[in-house]
Amino acid sequence: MQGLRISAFELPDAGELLSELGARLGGALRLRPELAPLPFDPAPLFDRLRNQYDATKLLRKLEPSADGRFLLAVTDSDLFMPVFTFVLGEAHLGGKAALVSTYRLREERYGLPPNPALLRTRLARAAIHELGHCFGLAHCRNSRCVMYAAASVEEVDLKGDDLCGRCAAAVASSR
Amino acid sequence: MTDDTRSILIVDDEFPVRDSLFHWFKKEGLKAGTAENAKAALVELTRETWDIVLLDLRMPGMDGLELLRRAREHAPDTIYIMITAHGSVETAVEALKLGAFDYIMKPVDPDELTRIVNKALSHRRLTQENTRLRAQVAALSDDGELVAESAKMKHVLSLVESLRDTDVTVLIRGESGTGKEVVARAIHSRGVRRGFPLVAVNCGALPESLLETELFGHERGAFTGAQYRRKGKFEQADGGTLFLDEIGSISPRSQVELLRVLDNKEFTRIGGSRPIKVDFRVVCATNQDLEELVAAKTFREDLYFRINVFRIDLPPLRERAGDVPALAHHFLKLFAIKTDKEITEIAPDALEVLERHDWPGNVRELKNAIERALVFAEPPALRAKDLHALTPAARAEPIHAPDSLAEMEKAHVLRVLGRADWNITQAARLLEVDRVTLYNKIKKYGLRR
Repeated sequence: MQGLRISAFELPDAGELLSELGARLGGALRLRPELAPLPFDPAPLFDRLRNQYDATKLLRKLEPSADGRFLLAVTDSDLFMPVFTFVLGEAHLGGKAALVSTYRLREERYGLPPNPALLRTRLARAAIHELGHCFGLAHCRNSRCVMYAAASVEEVDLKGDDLCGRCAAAVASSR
Repeated sequence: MTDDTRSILIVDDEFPVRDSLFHWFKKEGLKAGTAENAKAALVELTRETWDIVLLDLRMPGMDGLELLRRAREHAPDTIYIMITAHGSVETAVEALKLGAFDYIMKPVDPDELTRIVNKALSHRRLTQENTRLRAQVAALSDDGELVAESAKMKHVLSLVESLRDTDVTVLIRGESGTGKEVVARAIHSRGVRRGFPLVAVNCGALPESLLETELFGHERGAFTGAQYRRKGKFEQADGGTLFLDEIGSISPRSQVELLRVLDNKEFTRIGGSRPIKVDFRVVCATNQDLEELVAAKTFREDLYFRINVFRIDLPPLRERAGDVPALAHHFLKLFAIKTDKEITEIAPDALEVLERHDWPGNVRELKNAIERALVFAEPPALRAKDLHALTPAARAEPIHAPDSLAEMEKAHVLRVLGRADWNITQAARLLEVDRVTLYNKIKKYGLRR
């Protein structure tokens, strides 16, 4: 079983969210999770004009910090990539590091009462999706598969929690 | 947006933008490539085919608009999507006029990018599908298709090939049904005017006055019934090829008029006063001996010399040893697709019948014989029994035909019904009438199985 470090930054309810996330990731991708602090200070990568973190730059710092294992960074700050208004998460195909934000996954952001259970489900889907890219998975056409492309929270809600058979087989053969 | 066979080239001078998009599209399952400037993009476009090019409008050196202009010369079928910063919408609109598919504003919503790229990909898929289907339709039709296994037809084919990329006037001679129009189309499709239409006129099928209207067109009110202005074949063929079939049948008056148009490349519509300039290639065909007609003074010698620049003689099918099986297979494939019947081969006994036949009606007769036989044929092969119209007994039948037209019709309908095993649809198709008409005939003559 490969190791996965989960690091949170600027995530107020980290304790509550990450323990369950670790369990879900361990089950879905057969990874051995452990919590660890972020190995660098992310503050210089914050874009004050956009009030968002630059996901591309964060990922570039995260990759060498992975140290042969998988590394997932979780934040409550909003993320962008240079050409996009926002992204829910980011990872490169075949990379070691992944990044997800809870900023647009929270019901409060859309004027609705908080829903911690739904947030945990959305975060797990977003995290498995990004780590799936690290296992070399591209977006899946199966709308029930967690690797189905989701550009909004509605699409995150529509897809399933797990990898479809084809994607699961691809992950198994990539090990 | 996932389609692993599709490719996208990202052209942007900013590395972070290129990099983000590159990884984004790779995750979409697309083959992604990048170019940091216009020059590198043009190199990529000449090196391989890209389905989509995502192009930054503002780049140092050559800007996106200029690149779009040049790129479309190299790769006109590729889809171009422009990326533009806020405030340069006018330039983006200019890009649309130059043929860009769409534009997106930086920074872009991820779902907006997905939507536009999806739209572009389905457009590209439809365009390619359309091209493929057109090619399939072209393959299904006989246009320009020449089947040549025999030495005589191979010689004809070499003559047609020698006319490639030329504009010379051609006279095709051959018996009725030998495929003169097919050869005319083959010449047109290989000639310099292939991008323009081939307009065919059967001169023998029209009386003199109608032929004149057909060729010259007319102005509104030129004669009783001319309610609208109508373009004639001369105008329709402008830029392309005018194919005049059965040229030997046109009247002396029409010959004079035709010669004048061919010489001056100018004519006037009937009832009109303004001369119209036209430019077309002329290909004529005839099954008559034009020299004999010239000697008998029924065909003008000057017109004969005008059209007889390059001559192709088409052999009758009975002299084309080896072509009958090849043509039969060609028509089998054609009609099997058209009728959606899984008949893929011709049984040896059927081939024997076909090769024994002397084909007085030439290729046209063979084509009709295969089409009719397919109505009866059962998968997977066409057999001799399906070709009963060609057997000596079937051909002898009319000798014993009754004198009365009604009796003749009754006997014929009965015979065809028998041949179709009383399958009304099949029999109606053979008789070339609709099913209701056939039912009425059965009732009228009291026919019974």
